[in-house]
Amino acid sequence: MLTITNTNENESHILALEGEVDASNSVMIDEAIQKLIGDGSKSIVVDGQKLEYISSAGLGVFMSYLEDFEEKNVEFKIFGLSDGVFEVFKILGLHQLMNIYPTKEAAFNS
Amino acid sequence: MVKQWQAYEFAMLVAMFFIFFNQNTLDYSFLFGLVLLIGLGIVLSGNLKWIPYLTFKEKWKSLLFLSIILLSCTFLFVQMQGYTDQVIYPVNLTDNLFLISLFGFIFSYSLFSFLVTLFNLPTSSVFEQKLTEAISFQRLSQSIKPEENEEQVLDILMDSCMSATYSDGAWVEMGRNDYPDGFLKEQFLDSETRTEISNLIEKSKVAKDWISENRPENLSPIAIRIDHPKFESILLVPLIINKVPIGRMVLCKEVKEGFNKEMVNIVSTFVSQACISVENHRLLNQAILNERYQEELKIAQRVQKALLPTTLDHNSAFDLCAYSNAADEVGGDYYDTYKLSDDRFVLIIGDVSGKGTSAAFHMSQMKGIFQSLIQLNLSPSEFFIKANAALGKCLERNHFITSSIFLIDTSDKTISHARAGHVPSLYFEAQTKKSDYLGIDGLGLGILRNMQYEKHVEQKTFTYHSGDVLVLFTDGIVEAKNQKSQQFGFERMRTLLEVYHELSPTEIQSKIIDSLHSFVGGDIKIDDDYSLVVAKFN
Repeated sequence: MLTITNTNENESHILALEGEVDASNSVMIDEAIQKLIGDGSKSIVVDGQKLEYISSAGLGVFMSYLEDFEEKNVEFKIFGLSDGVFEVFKILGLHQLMNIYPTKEAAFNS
Repeated sequence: MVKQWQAYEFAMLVAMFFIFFNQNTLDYSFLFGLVLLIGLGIVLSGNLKWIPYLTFKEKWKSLLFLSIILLSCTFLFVQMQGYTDQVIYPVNLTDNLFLISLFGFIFSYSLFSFLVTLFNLPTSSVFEQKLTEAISFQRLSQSIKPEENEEQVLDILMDSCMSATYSDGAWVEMGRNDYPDGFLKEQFLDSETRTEISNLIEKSKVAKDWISENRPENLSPIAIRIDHPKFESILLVPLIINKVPIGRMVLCKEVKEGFNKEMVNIVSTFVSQACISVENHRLLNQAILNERYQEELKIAQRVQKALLPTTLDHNSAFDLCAYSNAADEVGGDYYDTYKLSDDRFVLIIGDVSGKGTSAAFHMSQMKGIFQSLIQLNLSPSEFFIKANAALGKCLERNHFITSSIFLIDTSDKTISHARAGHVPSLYFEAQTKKSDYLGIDGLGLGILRNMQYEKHVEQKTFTYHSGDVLVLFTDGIVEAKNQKSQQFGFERMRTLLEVYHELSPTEIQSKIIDSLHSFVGGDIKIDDDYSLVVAKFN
């Protein structure tokens, strides 16, 4: 079960993820990011405070957009990941490629 | 019936030879024979079952032919009678039993047929109507072939019901569950009239009572009176499959109370037959899809079985065992070994993102890349750099592969290794009697599909000692959850190895897997692929 909430703040688009991301619903994130890029967003921030679990399918969605973000000069940040979820990103090595912050303030202050 | 005809024919045959016994006098035997034959003839004449089957045109033709026969028969008999008045004749044909019986039979049969055909003329349309209904029913009950669609059945249904009830207009509409864009077929109605009638139905008290009193699956056709300028009576027919209403048909007639009980019954029969046909068609399509899916799965399974090694390469310096379990019949886990030389061996473990057939295909790509690149004697980090470049072109957009590779040199007792996003491997040191995870950085394969990847992978080398144990595994093990949604976790693995390090690789492997299953609980199936490779150094 996954819920995605879309809000605007300080010219950034915030995607708040709640629940678990697996193969069956990872396409929801894909569509959400696709739409933001299509609308010309220049700053996408993912709020992972209520994200309980993310599977390789979900990670795959994020990683597939890394090149797009670079080409289109889109700022991409993630904050509020629990220890367990952050660990998954770290093992995969994504913490070196993505900007992951512990809190919302840290994300917006950088 | 046939026996009666045979009896009559036999009797006539005997009558032909009667002349030899009788010499044609009108005595008792003659009269007896005559009565018998005429009686049989009348019985046969009464059996006129072939007449209703004639169409209206054919009946008129029969009447014509029968009149001709009757007239000729009468004329001939009268002529024959006339001859007996003449003086000279060799044989009195009127005293011939055979001939008299024959005349009698032809006359009575033709007369009966004529009268019955005449009185059956008005009812021929009823018979034809029933015949059409039976044929419609048969058409509806024929199973829809897989290439055809439900629409044809609904068409036939609407036509048959309209002709059976002599309706002036009708439409069929289906629910949005099966037809997202809606489905509507109308006959002799325009959409304006249809909307008007729909609204009148919604307002009708009779209709509302009918809906509220019955559960959806028990609804049967209902005749409703409406206040429309053109159509005064309608029949509302729900279409139900498997207790779920999927649509409805509405028949409209200009006259009041146009639908009697018999019509409603016929329509009900047609509708249930049509619904059965539609249901069968849907079930058949579903079965075909399922079978196709099963076939694909079987092929992927065969592919996967062929990819995991049947023998593990090692030498006397270390022992090796491996185990892999796929969720979903096909898995994305991969492990392999390679002998570079007598004392240099490579161990690799990999995890393709996702499950199912696409994961298995990526796994075979991984195997191909490993088996080719490893021959080039590359160091672990060089291997991953080149593998990343190759996979960058093969992998689908959202997919990546994690992997760990170990190069074991038994001549100088060293292990070189690199990790590409894979779960860190576990190592037990005999000297410290402690087990821990090998810390080394490295990005998964297929994530950075350019030259940048070089900066994100590192390589380390260390020396091993006798009694050391190396455990490679995939995340399916540590992420396996029990009923309380707790994960098996890294700590459990680590302590298990510390406790059981003295056992052989196969035994260590069993201990870990048993512990995994008892943690998860007997009934729960582990949702992800998991693999385990254990190497122990002698």
